[in-house]
Parts: sequence; C-alpha cells; structure tokens
Amino acid sequence: MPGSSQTLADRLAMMGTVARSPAARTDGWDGPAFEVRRNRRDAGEFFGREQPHPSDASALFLDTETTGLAGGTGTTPFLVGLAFVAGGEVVTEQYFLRRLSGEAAMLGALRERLTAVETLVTFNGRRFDWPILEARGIINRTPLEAPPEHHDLIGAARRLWHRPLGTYRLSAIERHALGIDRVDDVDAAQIPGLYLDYLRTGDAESLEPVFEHNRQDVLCLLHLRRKVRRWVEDGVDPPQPVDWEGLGVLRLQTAAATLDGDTASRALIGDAEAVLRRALEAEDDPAARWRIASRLAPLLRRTERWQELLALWEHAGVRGSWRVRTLIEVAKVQQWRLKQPARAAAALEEAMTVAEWLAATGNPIAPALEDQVRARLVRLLQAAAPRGRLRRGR
Amino acid sequence: MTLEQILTALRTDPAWARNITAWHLVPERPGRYEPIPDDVDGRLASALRGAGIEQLYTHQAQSFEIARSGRHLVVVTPTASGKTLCYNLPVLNALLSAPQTRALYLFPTKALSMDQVDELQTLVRALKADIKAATYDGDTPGAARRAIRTAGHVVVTNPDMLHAAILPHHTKWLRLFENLRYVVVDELHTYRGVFGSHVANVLRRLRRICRFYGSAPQVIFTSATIGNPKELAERLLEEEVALVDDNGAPSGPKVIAFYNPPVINRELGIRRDALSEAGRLAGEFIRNRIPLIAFARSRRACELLTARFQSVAAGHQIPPERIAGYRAGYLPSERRAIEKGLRDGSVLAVAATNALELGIDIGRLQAALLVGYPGTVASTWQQAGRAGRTQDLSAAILTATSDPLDQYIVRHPEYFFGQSPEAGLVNPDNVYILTSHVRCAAFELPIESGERFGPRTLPEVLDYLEKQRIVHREDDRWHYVADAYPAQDVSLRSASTENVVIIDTTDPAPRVVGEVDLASAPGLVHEDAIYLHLGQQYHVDRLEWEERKAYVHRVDVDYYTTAQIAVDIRVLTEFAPGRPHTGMVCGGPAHGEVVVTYRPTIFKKLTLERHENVGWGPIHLPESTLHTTAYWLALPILPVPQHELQGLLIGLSHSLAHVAALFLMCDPRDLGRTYEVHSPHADRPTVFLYDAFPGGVGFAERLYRMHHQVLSAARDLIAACPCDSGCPSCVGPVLEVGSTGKALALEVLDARLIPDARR
Repeated sequence: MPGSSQTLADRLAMMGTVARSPAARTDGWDGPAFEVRRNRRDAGEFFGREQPHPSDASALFLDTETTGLAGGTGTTPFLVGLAFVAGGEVVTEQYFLRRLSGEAAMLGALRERLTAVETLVTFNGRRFDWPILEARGIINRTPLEAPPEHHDLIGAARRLWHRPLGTYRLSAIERHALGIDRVDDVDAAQIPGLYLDYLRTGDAESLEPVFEHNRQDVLCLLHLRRKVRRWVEDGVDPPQPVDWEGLGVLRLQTAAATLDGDTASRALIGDAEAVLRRALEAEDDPAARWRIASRLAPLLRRTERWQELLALWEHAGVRGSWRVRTLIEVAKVQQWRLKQPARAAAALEEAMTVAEWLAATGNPIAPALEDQVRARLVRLLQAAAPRGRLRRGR
Repeated sequence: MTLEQILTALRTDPAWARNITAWHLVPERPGRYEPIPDDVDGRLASALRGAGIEQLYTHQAQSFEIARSGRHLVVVTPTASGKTLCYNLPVLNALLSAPQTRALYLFPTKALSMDQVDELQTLVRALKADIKAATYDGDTPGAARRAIRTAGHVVVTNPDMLHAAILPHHTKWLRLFENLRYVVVDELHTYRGVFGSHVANVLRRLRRICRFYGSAPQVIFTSATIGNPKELAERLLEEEVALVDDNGAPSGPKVIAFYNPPVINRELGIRRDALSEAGRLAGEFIRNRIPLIAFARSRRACELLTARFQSVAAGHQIPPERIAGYRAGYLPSERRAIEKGLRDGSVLAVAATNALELGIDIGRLQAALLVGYPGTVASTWQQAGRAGRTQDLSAAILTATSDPLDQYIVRHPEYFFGQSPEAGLVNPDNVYILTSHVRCAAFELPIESGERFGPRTLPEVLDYLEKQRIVHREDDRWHYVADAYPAQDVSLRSASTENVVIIDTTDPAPRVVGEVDLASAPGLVHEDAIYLHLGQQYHVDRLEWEERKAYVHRVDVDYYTTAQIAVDIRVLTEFAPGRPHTGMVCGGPAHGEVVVTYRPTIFKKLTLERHENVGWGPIHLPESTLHTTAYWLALPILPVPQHELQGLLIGLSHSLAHVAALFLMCDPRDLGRTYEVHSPHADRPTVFLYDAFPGGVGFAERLYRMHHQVLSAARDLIAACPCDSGCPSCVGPVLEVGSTGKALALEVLDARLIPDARR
C-alpha cells in the first residue's frame, strides 16, 4: 500500500506479546533425521516366573509420544515406542525423529516392522495413536496398513479399574494393579513442550526422561496384556481387587467371540458367572444390583437352572422401584418356568403393594412400570378364571 | 378483491397514496430458452424431461457450456430463476461419465443445505444412478459420517464445517480430495466483510489440500443481486471467474412500492410505527386471501407481526393455522412444516425474519411486505423476489422505519432502482484473519518456504508463528508443532470469540441468562448498570472483567442506564491523503491505519418515561484498544463557536456513518464513528469512520474511493428529512446536535465539502 510505513512484521508484532524462546537452530545437524534406539532384555528375566504368552510372539506393542494431544492431521508422532518378543528376548525399539524431516523415513521403517505382525497392542491406540500414524502416513506419502488385529487394552482397563480406582489411566493401573512404581517419571503434559525445546536447541539431554517414559509405557503394555489375558481368557482371578462385574463381562465377551461353545468357552462362562455373583454379593446400590442380575440371568436361563434364576431375582431387588422390577422377573419365572401362577400372582401383588407404598411416601414409580405390573396381574387372573365366566363377561 | 384491485385502491385512496413514495412496475419478462445441450448425458436429459424440463433457460445453458470448458464461473440471477440447475447439471453430468468424481457444495446455513440435498436427491432418484448426496454438518450422526467421507459423491456442508471439521482431518477425506472436480459456493453475496474474508482463506486452504491430493476443482459460485459478483468471486478465489448474469427465466409483472408512514411529531421527526402500518397493509391482503409473506428485521418484530396477522385472520373467519411465523429458534421440523404449508397453499400468510430470505423453496406467493429496509439492496431484491414466482402480477411493499437508512431509501427511490452500487467487500489479507488461517494451514500440511498462500508468500507470518512456538522451521519447511487444534480458536462468523457471560444470582441456583460480546460489555454490564434481557431488568452487582463474568440480580426499577465511553483515535499511517495538508483551506478525505481507544467514564441513570437524568456513577474498567483502518474527513476551519462545531461534527458523523453502511453493504454496527474538534493529525476538525474489526476488512479504503457519493448521499438524506433541526433519521437527535447542527451540516456539505470533492 502506498505510504505504508509499517511492515507486516511490525503489525504482527502489535498483535500480541511474543514469547521469549531459545534461538532456533537449523544448521549443524549431523546424522540421519531419524534414529532407532534398541534395547534387549532376557524374556525370562523380564517376565519373572511366568512365561510370555505364546501369541505375544506375533504381537507388536506400540505407544507414541506426539507434539500434541488434540489429534487431527497436525499432530506429529516424534517418538514411536515398539516392543516385541523375539528369540527369548524382549526387544524395545524407539523410533525417534531427530528432525521433523525424518518422518517419512521413520514411517517407512514402521511400515516394514508392521508387515509380519498379526496383532497390534496399544493403550487407547484405536482412538489416538493409530489414527495419527495413519494420517501422517498419508501426509508423508508413506501409507501404513493396519495389522489384521488391533488389541486396544483401554477397553479392558476401563471395565476392570474405572470403578475401583476412579480412573483408568495407564499410570494408575500400573501402580495399583501391576505394582510398578515409577520414579522421576515425566509429566505427560510437558512432553510436547520438551520436544519443541529440543527441536530449537538440538539438546537431546532433556529428552532422556521422555525416552524412558515411553519405554516404560510400552513395556507396561506387555505386562498388562499378559495379566488381562490370564484373568479374562484363562479364568484366573486376580489377587488384588478389580471390578468383578467388569471382569465377568470381559470373560463373557471373550467366550462369545470364540463362538464354538467348546469346553474352554463353557468353562470361561462358568468363571464369568462366579465373578458376577461375587460382584452381586458385594454390591449395595439397587440399580447396580439390577444390572448385575440382568447379566447373570441369561446364563441361568441358557442352562435352565430355574430355581437358581428364581433365587437370583428374589434376592436381587433391595428397595424402591428396583424391587418392583425384580418382582416382575420373579413372577415371570414362577408363571412360565415353574408353572406356579398363584405364586406369580403373589409376587405381582407384592409389587403392587411396594408401588403403592412408594407412591404414598412421595416416590412414585414410573407410570409405565406400574401399568406393566397391573396388566400382568390382570392377564394372570383372567387366565386363571373359568372360561365360561369370562365369555359371559363380554 | 384481486391483487390488482387492492393495488389500485392503494394507489388511489389518498389515505394510503400520500404516503407512497415510489411505485415501480417491473415489466413482465418472457422466458428465453435453449435446447438441452447434446453433450448432456442421455440419462440426465431424460430425467430432466421427466421432471417437465424440455429446454433450459439461456443462463442455464450458458453455465453448462462454461463449466464444460473448465473455467470457474459465477451465476447471478434472481430468486427462483433455476439457479441450482446451473451447477447440478454439470456436476451430475460429470458424475454420470466418471462415477468416482466428487463434488463439494457449500451453503452458508444448515437449512439451505437440507433443502438442496432434497432437491438434488429428487433428481438423482429420477436418474436411477448410484449417486449419493448427503449433508455433513454438526447434526450428521456419527455412523453416517464415515460413510459420507468415503462414499458421498456430493458432500453438502457449510464453510464452518469445512474449516473446523473437514480440512483439519483431510486424511480421512482422501476419496473426496483425490477426486474433487467441482466446488459449488452458493449465496456468494453472504460471503462479505469479516465472514467473507475468513471464507476466502478457507478456500485457499481447501485448494492447497486439493493440490496435495492432485486435484484442481472448478468452482461454481451463485449469488443473488450484488454490485460486483465477478470481482467478489475473483477476490475469494484469486483466479479468473467467468460471469453469467443474463437471466433467461420468465417473470410476471411486479409492482414494487415504498411506503413511508406519516409523521406524527414533526419536531422530533417521529413517524407512525412501521410495524402497525405494515399490519394494516397486511390486513388488506389477508382478508382478500392473497398469499403473503412479511419480513421483519428482528425476532421480536416477527412475533408481533404474527400476532397481528392472527387477529386480522380471526376477524375474517380465516383459521389461525393458516397464519405462521418463521424465524431462527424454531425447530427444523417446524420450519419444514411451514415451508411445505407455503408451497401447497395451506399457509396463507407468514411473518418471517431473514431466515427465509435465502434460497429455501417456499413456492409461489403473491405479495411480500418488507417491514423496515432490510439493510442492503441485495436483501431487498431477495425478499421482494419471494413474491411473484408465477407469470401473474405480484407486489412487494417496503414500509420504512425512522432509521436513517430507511428514510434515505424511501425518499430516494432512484438510488434503489438505479444501478446497484453495493459491492461485497472482503480483505483476505487482513493480518489477523490471514495469520489465523496460516496456523490452520500449517496444521493441515507443512508449509514450504516460497509456497504461495493466496497471491503471496508468508515469511513474516511464519516468523511470527515461530516466535509464538506454533510452527518450527526446518530447512525449507515449516511444521506445525503446537499442542492445540487451531481451527477451534477461529470462528468464521464473528470478529471475536470472547464474550462476557451474564449470571443471574437472584435464585439460590445461579443461572446464565445471556452473554454480550467483549467489545460491548463495558457499556452494557459495568457495575450498577441496568441490563435488559427479554424484557426483564437486571442490576449488575459485579463484573469480573478477567473472568469475563457479570453477576446480576433481577430488579424492577423505573430507570435505565447509559454509559459514556470516551473514544480516542490516533492515526498511525496515512495511506492516501487527498491533497497535501499544509496551507490548504479544506483538509479533505484520507484513509489509513489508526488505533482506537475506548475508555468507559461514567454512566447516567435516566428515567424510563421522560429520560430525565436521576443520577450517575463512575465506571472502573480498563480501556481497550482496537488497531484498525479508518477513513477520515478533515473539515475546513469554520468561524463558529465550539459548541456549534461539536454539534456539526456529531451530525456529520451520524449521517455519514449511516449512508456509508448503505454503500458498504454492512451492518451500521460494523462501522465505528468518532470525531475530533481539533485533530492533531489533520490539524483540523475531523470526522472518522473506522472498521470495527481488528485490522479492518477494507471499508476505509472503499469509503475513500467513493467519498463523493457518500457525501452527496448524506447531504440528500439531511436535506430531505422533514424534521426541524435534527432527528435520529438524519443528523441525530436535536438534544445531541444542538439547534444549529442540522443547518450547519447541510451548509458545510453544500458550500464546501461537496464542491471540494468534485474538484
């Protein structure tokens, strides 16, 4: 523009305070733009008394450190931590971007490492690590192909620890469930900033805690997966408390996934039932008791254990509207399975009494629920009445 | 009575006729047609014939030819002229010949996208081809999103979604970007000012991503009436765009009339209320069962009009369900039902806000009532175009309010009916807007040094972003390294995303009752202010400025508050002075960069009834500054007392700001105004008009260039106003400009400013 005495830079400077930062270094970098740090440990030593799970041999454990946690295309994985079991050793490989320009080469190496892998094992990798790697693959014209299976441990972690620990972050699980206590661990929120400082100064020293953090994370996945598989798939109960309901659900899911109904999966369903009962016993909250009983009921129905089913519902409901709901279930078992219409009617009458009492104390149950009780009771009484009378009634 | 008889009555009955300031007949236009071109796919041609389209309007055929030739184009034809076919035809034709082809449609609002998808799908069904068209916006369910990303042939969305959800995740949209052949940008005229400047940058980012995936889409713009369609499209796209503006669609004869409610208080320049006058006019149409749409400028006015229509209907045995209101805030299903009712005739009259102005199909209405000037010539034609989609006679009547813009328009119909001087202005290189989008672009793909973003390269912006630790330079590339998702912080629609939240603490559980933007907050929610929201008064107990929170409680008092804000303006750079400053009698116009400082000083308590001052208090708030561009006009040194000079400057800035908004096609609030009795920069009394957006969007330079027109229009506005010595419709209330303000303003304009500008 004519007469403009200010440069664009001047005007930009007016937009905000410029943060003080170390001077950028763009020269003097030697060596490749990406490097691999490899570490080996004897598997026996690593796993202690227990042996690695046989399927670990075809699994690749992965955890990335990134320039941001927001996701989207502009988040760069600057450190990809991998672990695998090979030749009696636990190997960790850390692909590190010494410079951002090494990304395509790094992704190329990762692509190669992924070729023989059957299962990718991550913690929240479905939502975070893998989509970022996939996006960066496209941007760097080095597209990655996902291994046939992706075992994201976060699902199991949530089921097993969210309720007892109030969180299912990897670090909390590691401490409480795996008994590993890290010293001097870097705060995950600071990692992007540390890497940016490194990019500007070339001083990799301050990144050492990040490398260690990442190595610990990915090794933790090996332990976690082995434990989760023992507890879920092998039906061994964990020594320390977990969410027993969650464990039961995980076991049922695994049994359903095998589909063949073989002895092993039948045994696993039995193991699931055991921990679900354990969960029900320990539970006070009526809504949770209802939920757990609803998970147990199909197992008893499938094996036609009607008396046990009756007992389950009789004891599941403790108070309030949940008591009404469980009494309806009691009535169903009595009427259809045990052929005891009178006892079914008695259960429904009790449900009506509970409903009336709740209404009188200012906590009426949902009208739809009350209607359901009434309708069932009416049908039951009509079925019990002599036919002739009913006809005349019309 | 028929419409013709009603119109005759309006023109001949003196009670109406003396308030009618313009009666303009747009003659009937026969349609001009061309056969469906031979290179239109046979399936498509027969689907069109199946829908009753045997031949194309000339502008549709012309658009198809240009699109086929590979050029970008902009189609500018009135409402209901078959504009959508101008882009659907080339897009569907391309899809039929190459099924992997993709197209992206951008509409400014969600409602429009829905309407368009419905229309497109009707055509696709007739084609019996596997073409999937779907809207992708905030309402699209998660499961559908994945399918649309990979398999949607035509993705219909809005610029905001493109900016915040699609471009930042472009790798998930691989299929779309690799095969993107057409981008359709509908309602081009809405992309102006700050919003348009943002959208221009979103288009830069879109085309940058396309280049990465090896596609180079053609862009088809469509627009309602606008002064500079080709220029605006080219400014948004930064490439040559072919213009199609020769409308071949037929239209019936149409009367456009301006109605100025009678003056009831000459001294204060007060006219009869436009809403009630419009209600009376509407009564004439409703009782004669003439299908009618009325446009109000606010939601509240829309509600009041609906109520009036209801009572008219009740008096004439018309069932209430034949009357409807239509505005933002209604549920989508409610809106759909009203649109359908209008199309099938079950709804007789609708009172709407401009939510219905854009191209939603509502069928054929015979009359349109515009309650208040919609603000731009383009909107006026758009709203008037809602009546008369048939071959028959139709009418559009504009009822003026006392606003200066309204008064100028109805008293100068020749301005309205003459060549439209309104132009859509954008400034994609506004440093704030540009920098925001460079951040977003770097997030999407590393920026190569020497890479062009728009017409130029970006070394300074990238240096700035590097210092902010947002990007990192390595060799010849700039990589995004910040730990944040940048599109989240950039809103395309408003200048600032910051607001002050208003929290009502009357009840035990505090409740958010509303919010005001940061710029208005010092004047509205300072401590001890009375804040009005939906008719309820609130007393502001505490304003937590840093936290952006105002704590209020409900009150019922008989006064309101008004804040005095001292505005200081300092010129940083003068880009283009009219003539040399020194030694001249008259300063003349100039434009350049300024810093505006707002400092709230005191507030006054005024009674609700008589506006009497019953108290005051100080306001303790930090001052705020705005770095922007301004147009200013230095006056000659006049031999008048100080207070008269002040009245003159207030009057001039008031009238200039309002006519400037007219020429700039912007909201008057987008333009700040102030004056200096003695400007240190110009060494003269000076009036300033400035862009109320950091960095400016080009208003100042435009005003400088149309300086003469703006002055003449301001003069005409003041001269034609029947008030004695000032009213809100011309120079501002007499209480502010004093008894001599109006006369002096006219005199200075006539004797000095306009003759000088002509030289």
